[in-house]
Amino acid sequence: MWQKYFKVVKIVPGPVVIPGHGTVDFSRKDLPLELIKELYENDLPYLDITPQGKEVIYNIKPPVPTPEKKQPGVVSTPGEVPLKDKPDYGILQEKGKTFSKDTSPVKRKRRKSNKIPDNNE
Amino acid sequence: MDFTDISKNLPNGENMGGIAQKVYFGFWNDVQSWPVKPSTPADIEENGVLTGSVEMKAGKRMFEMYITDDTGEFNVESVGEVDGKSYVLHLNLFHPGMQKKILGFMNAAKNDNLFFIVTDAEGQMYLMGDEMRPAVYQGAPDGGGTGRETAARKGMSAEFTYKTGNVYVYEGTVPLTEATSA
Repeated sequence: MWQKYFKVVKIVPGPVVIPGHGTVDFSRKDLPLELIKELYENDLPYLDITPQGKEVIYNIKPPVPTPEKKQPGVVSTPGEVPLKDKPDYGILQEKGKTFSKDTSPVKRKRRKSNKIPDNNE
Repeated sequence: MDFTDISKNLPNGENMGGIAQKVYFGFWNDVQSWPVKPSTPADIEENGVLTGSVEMKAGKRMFEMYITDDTGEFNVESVGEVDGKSYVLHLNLFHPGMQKKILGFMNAAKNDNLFFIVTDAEGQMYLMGDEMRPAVYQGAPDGGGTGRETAARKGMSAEFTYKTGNVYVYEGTVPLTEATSA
């Protein structure tokens, strides 16, 4: 079915008189895919391609999102507080590391280890 | 633009007269944008064709009208004085019967601004109307009504005209469905 790969834009799907092709009714689901592809490639303004059409017909894969590198001060998860906004707990702030918000009323002690303290410990 | 040779060019030997049994029309005010006339054409062929399509405003559309075969005519009339020549395009048509739809169309069209797209026997289309001028009703040269004899042809005829500096082929599309905003 062509509607998986192309969609009608700018008009309500229905009949359109197209020079060289006669009247093409875009409300019909059984139009030949080759016809739709040809009209799209001839810049018919009422057709757009779907992401699935790009992948299946033109072999254009959707871009894979690359994981963002964490920058100091960048919040990436809810509840996480950027270093620059972190209250001073007496812990040496290391570049590139973020900390989870500590809601515990217990005063934290400095640890010797470089390991980032887990608040749930 | 340079001139080029103009040879006999009748693809497949076709050169039949008359127009198709359908004409397309709409209100001139409902048009969002018009096709573009050639401004710096490369050759004379390019100087005879419009670029783009008639785009309707959101919620508006074009319509088609049936006309009796051999009653429709698209005519190009040259008018004006020396150094001031232009064209008047004429569309004559006859719609059979006196049904409510055609009477309602005539009632609305006679004093309103319209545009037409006419198709000739080879499928080539012509647009009557642009951003400056509409096609307007001129009258009913072939009459309208019941006819006198029982063998007479009952129906409504109409003539529409459009004034233009040049004549162009229309190579755009004709959507017979409402335009949307997106």
